[in-house]
Amino acid sequence: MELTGIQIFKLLPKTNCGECGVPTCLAFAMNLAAGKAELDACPYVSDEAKSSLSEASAPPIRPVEIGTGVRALKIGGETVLFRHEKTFCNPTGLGAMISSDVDMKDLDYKLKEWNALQYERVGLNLVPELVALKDVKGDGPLFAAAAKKIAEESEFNLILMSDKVDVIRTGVDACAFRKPLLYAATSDNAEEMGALAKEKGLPLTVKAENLDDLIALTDQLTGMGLQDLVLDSGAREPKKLFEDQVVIRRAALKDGNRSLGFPTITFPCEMADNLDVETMIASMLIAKYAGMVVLSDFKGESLFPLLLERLNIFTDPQRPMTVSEGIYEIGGPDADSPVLITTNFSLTYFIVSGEIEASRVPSWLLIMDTEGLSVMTAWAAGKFSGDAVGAFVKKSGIADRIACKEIIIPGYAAAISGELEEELSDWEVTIGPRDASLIPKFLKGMSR
Amino acid sequence: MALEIFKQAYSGKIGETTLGTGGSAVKLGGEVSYPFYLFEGEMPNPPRIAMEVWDYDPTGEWPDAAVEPFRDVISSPEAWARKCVDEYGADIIVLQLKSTDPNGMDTNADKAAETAKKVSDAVDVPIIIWGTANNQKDEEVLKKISESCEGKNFALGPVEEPNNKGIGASAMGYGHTIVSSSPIDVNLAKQLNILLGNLGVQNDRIIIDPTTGGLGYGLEYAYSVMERIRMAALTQEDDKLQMPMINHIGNEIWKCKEAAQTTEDAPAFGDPERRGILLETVAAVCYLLAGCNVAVLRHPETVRLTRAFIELMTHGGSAHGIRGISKRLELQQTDLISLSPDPNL
Ligand code: B12
Ligand code: SF4
Repeated sequence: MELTGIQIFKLLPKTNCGECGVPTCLAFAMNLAAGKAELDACPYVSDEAKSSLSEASAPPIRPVEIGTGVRALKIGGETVLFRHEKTFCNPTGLGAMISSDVDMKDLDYKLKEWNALQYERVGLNLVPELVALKDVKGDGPLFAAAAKKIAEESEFNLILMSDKVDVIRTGVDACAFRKPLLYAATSDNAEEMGALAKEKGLPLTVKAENLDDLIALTDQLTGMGLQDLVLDSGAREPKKLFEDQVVIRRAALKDGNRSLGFPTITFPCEMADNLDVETMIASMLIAKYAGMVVLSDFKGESLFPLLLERLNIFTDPQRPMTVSEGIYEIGGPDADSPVLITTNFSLTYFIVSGEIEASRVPSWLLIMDTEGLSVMTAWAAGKFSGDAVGAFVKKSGIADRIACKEIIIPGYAAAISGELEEELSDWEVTIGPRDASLIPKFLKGMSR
Repeated sequence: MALEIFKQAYSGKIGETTLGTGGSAVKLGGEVSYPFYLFEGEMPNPPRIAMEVWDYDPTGEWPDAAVEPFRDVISSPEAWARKCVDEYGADIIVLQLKSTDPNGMDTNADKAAETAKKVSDAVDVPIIIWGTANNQKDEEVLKKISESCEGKNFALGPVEEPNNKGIGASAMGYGHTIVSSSPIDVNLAKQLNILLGNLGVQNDRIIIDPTTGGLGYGLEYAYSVMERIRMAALTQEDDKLQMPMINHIGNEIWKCKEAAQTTEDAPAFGDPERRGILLETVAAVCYLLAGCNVAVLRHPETVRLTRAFIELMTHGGSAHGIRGISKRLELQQTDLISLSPDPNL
């Protein structure tokens, strides 16, 4: 739990020497509590005070890193219950389950198929991160062979799942370089599983049948010196699992409960008979606090909606994503190419520029700074008015680069056309389609 | 030592609003906790599912997957409404008066009132009448319907600031409920409800429409505003926000490009029919978790899944046994292997 300035003050030397940059230890303590100073600025704090202070200032939910490479994942580290308070920072990891008795050819096929499921959006590449490899026969070599193939031949990071420590160990030996997550320490094997995770420096899942047992286990494991833990509360029914997710998050944030201050892993794949129902359960878990969600498969129709949800839930609620104002050249436009205009909201920009690209008609796209508002929102807020757009077009300098002064405005901004024509008296103002998906047809249809 | 769970203290309660009359009336709201936080409060009236009926045949505008379940009834609003209720189990019907748009077909108020009457006579569930957000035209149309369907306790919307007086007075006079609509803003939602209150509209005659964003198209804004509305209602006793909320989910989802793309155009996006339904289902779950009391949906498979979700979340139990999506259209598949880039190792 976070310490108050007074609590911190008690741990400082109280000599008021001033070397930290403020005149008194008390002032320094207040700054520390407010996050405005670093403990290192005081050369005289005792090691003992240092360790209790750093423990107290550790994040209430531990950030845990899993895997390596382009799909490396960081989960946990959240500081709030509601996203309007502060951005949810580490998006829920998405995984698919595969059994260790999978045929190597099938595995090869699956990995390639799954690798095709990548989605460009707002300039980001949306992908799932994990494959959960589940031991089904207690067969170490079989498990290790699959783990090795996934680790060496795919971008996916691994969750190694078995209740047998020796099977996990063989798996780890095959893929430790990819920093897999181990699953799971239970009351039957915590001692050995914990020792293995510690020896290899790998994150470890703790699984229990209820929260009390979970707390006992995480206490045992942190007592052994482990820090990177992930929680599975054992619930496999939606209502109970939802409750557990909320209770765990609140315990860590509101009660400073260190035993539950870790990210969670959840298994819709074990909760339903088909991917459709799993997807529905997963959507609940992305919104409400799961660190990871494991499905039975990745399929575009299920994965894409979940990736969109994750993108939405984990964006900064205070400031919209933006692109910078200016003239964007798409497809190598020349003096005879059409000129279109839209706002600097990332989503709007990427949708519109994507459609212009798809049209294969080289074009000029003017991006106007509307403080990151979409077309309709900006128009309603008075930031995409005829006057403002006209003034921007003039100052943008686009007129010097084209022969025919015609500007295409978004269909939803049709209402500004009159005002804009007045402002840009030597221009022709053309109203484009409302939906961006009609832009290709529109541009191709403009006889030029 | 057993874990003592941290419980949120709630000082407020969402009021109950009833739609419809007599035996077919539906009660909304009444919860005293955050949505589905049943370990610390009750939700006496679990969220309800409404289905959309349009007042003209939208076949050309909708993706095939959305048209298919209604193909036999889509040109008759009353047959369509009946099918939603009898076959798909809709709790409520939303009559979308899309054709009244003055920038479109501009159907007049009399004609719209006729359609409303027919739909209302065809089913015995409550009706929500929805305009086009053209304040002036909506006022004209909704007043007409309010009058000609007196006493049926429809919900009339969207009621916005400019037309709140006209529609509000009419709804009070003829026994209807108001859907008070504001653009994703806690204060604007509250302000409009204050105006309606000043007019004499009781809290239990109001539903809040906080405005719905599509998945990937603004959902996050609506989601957070709804959470904040619930927080103000339940923990700050803001009585002008203690009303049930409605979300037009189907309408937002099925108009987005990704709900319509063929497998040919978007091979990595999977089967289009399932994709549309899952986009709608995922959005519905998000909105339910944010505090939605009436989820307005389009596809009957979304309706079935969402109903199962509400049931599981209120009564508990396992999700095993819930069927996956029943397809009506042929499965579309692609060769993903040929699309798969070389892994970046
Ligand atoms: C999310 C949202 C917000 C967010 C802001 C999101 C953002 N960054 O812009 C918040 C909550 C902040 C917000 C605020 C407001 N909002 Co708002 N908002 C929405 C919502 C739900 C989605 C908007 C969105 O993101 N669309 C997606 C983007 C991609 O759409 P787009 O930019 O229009 O681009 C599309 C097309 O226009 C086209 N296109 C774009 N550029 C171009 C260019 C060319 C050449 C062509 C051909 C096509 C084209 O392509 C895109 C895809 O098809 C809509 C309602 C809805 N369901 O649509 C209301 C909506 C736009 N908001 C509205 C209003 C009134 C407001 C406020 C003014 C309310 C207020 N009084 O406070 C404020 C203004 C903001 C301010 N003062 O700061 C109204 C506008 C009504 C109107 N037509 O007048 C709407 C329609 C809601 C409603 N029904 O009342 N809003
Ligand atoms: S440097 Fe350390 S001892 Fe000196 S005033 Fe600052 S806090 Fe106190």
